[in-house]
Amino acid sequence: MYKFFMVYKYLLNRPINLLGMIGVLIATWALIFVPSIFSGYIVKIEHHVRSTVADLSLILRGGSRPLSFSKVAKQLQEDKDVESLSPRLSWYGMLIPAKENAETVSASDQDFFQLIGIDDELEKGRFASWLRAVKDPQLQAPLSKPFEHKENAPPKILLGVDKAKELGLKRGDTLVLTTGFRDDSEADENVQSIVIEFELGGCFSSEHFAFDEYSAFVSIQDLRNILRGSAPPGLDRFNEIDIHARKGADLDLLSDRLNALLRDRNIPGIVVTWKKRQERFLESVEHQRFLLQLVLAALMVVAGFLIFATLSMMVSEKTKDIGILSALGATRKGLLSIFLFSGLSVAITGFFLGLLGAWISCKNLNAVNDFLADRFSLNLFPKDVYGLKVIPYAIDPLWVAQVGLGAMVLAGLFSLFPAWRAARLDPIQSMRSE
Amino acid sequence: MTALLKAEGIHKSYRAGTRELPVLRGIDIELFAGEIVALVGASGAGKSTLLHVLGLLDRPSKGRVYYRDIPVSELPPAKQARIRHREIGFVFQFYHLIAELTALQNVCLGAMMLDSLPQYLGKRKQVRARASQLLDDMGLGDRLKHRPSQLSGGERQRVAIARALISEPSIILADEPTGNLDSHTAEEILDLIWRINENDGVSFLIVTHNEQVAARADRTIRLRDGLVVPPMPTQEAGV
Repeated sequence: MYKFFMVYKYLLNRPINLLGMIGVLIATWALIFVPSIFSGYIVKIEHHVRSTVADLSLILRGGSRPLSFSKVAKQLQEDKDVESLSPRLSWYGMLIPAKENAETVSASDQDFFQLIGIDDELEKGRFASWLRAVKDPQLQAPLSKPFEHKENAPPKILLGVDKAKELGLKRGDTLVLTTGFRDDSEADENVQSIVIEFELGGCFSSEHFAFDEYSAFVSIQDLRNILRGSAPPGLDRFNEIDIHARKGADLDLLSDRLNALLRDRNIPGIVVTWKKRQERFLESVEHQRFLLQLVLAALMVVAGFLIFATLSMMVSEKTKDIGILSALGATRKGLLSIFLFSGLSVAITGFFLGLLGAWISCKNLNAVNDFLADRFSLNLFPKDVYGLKVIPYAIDPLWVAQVGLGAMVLAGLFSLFPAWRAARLDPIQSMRSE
Repeated sequence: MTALLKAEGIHKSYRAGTRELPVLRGIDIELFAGEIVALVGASGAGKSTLLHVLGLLDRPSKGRVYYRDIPVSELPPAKQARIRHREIGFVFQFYHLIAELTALQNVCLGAMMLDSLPQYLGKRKQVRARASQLLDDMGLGDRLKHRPSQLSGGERQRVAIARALISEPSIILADEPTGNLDSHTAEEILDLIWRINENDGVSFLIVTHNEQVAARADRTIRLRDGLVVPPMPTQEAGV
């Protein structure tokens, strides 16, 4: 009992111990608050990325002969975990607004786009939800048959809503696509240039800022016609297939099975899960978070040194008390415990206050950030980096536990030497000290 | 009659560089239950060293200390700490109270040493009541919440005596308990010691320079150059 009593009294009567506690508090706050914002970004980005790609994608190898979607789909649907499939034909090109439509056209407006040809009837409602997300009536596309157009009219194209606003476009405006095409099935290896007009049929919003910025949707049939080359008429060609798995299916296992099927049937493509497809991007963000955690962990080591310094001072100041406690019957183990518990108590208090501080900081993050931006033009956490409307955060309980454990282990290690020194003091010499 | 505390052939020497400095050179003494013994001698005679060896705060270089015939000087440190807490009380010349604690807390501290947190919490009220009673008996009933820095020398020594008494020891080893007090206060402290001895039967071994204290004790042991001076025939007869 005397150990806890003495720890309590010493900590209460020695404000210098606040130093170690403040050190742990700051380190805990930084280690939880900053990575929580990063985790929030990761969760949000994963969600955004996830919303733009299917569970799995079949990607045809470059240079492959054109294949029929219906034939390949039939084979893929042999797997019981494949729920639905939709074809995609992706191409790249430069899109510029036709001059008379654009409010301003400059070199920077000639963006490189990924043109994605889709069959909106096979898109299983996801695409419709992206169309519904657009609130501006001048940019809204019809939810049903958004690509429908008269026979001699230019084909319809859908842009990301922010991009369309940036270019000053409205529904019905004309855009010019410039691209190149080489017919793989022909002996002629020359690239043909294609320049074709599109009419803006409306806009979409997927929440994934980077995706919306550089993607444009067209009807897969229109794109097939543009890129037909020498392929047989009526071929439902594709270069990607979005594969939607049944609920609860193991995507990695399904991907393995489908790849085996592709090998068996000599289909020149590969099936990847959505996560694998975005692996590099997600890993790079996670790596940044890891580096940040590593740098911030140095703060905890500094806090450990503060605990060491204040406890060493305490042992020197309380040498006489150590002799008195020995005379009253304290053992060496008991004396060691007093100083060890002191260090740990400082760390525990600092950790919980730091945790509370981090939680409050996360809760008020957006308000404080907006205030700083408005009042001092200080944008600590720019929302537009990842195209987010609010700064997200996600406090990971496992990481909080790791920070807590780390703080305790460090405090224990840094308290051990002063505590051991206290326990080794000769009680008689201690009582004589002034 | 069995001795409460017995020293047998106690030697204690300290190393000063390469030299060995003998302080105690074969001490044989016995202390019996209920008696007050004065330990006198010139400075450097080894009085305090003997007190520390008898109180198990220091180990003898040679010889043994017995408590009720148990050779306690050879026990492991943790067991010695337990005996020190349960059976032996200490009172020092400079009081040695803990500055952060009130008078009451300093006394209660003496009762906390062997208890775990739940054990102590279970008997906390009784301990506080007993500590308050002890301090009240010593005329400090109105000073319970004062810290040592707010107490006079005599009051601090009374708190130290109360702290020694809280664990109900059989013997109290007092190292110059009046050495830092004026004569009037010293007299009060001695009266207190004799009263405790008379009422509770607690034995005292008092290290002192003061011949008047020695004259008041039941017995006097004189140390010179680390040895016990044989008693004079008149002393032996108690005259």
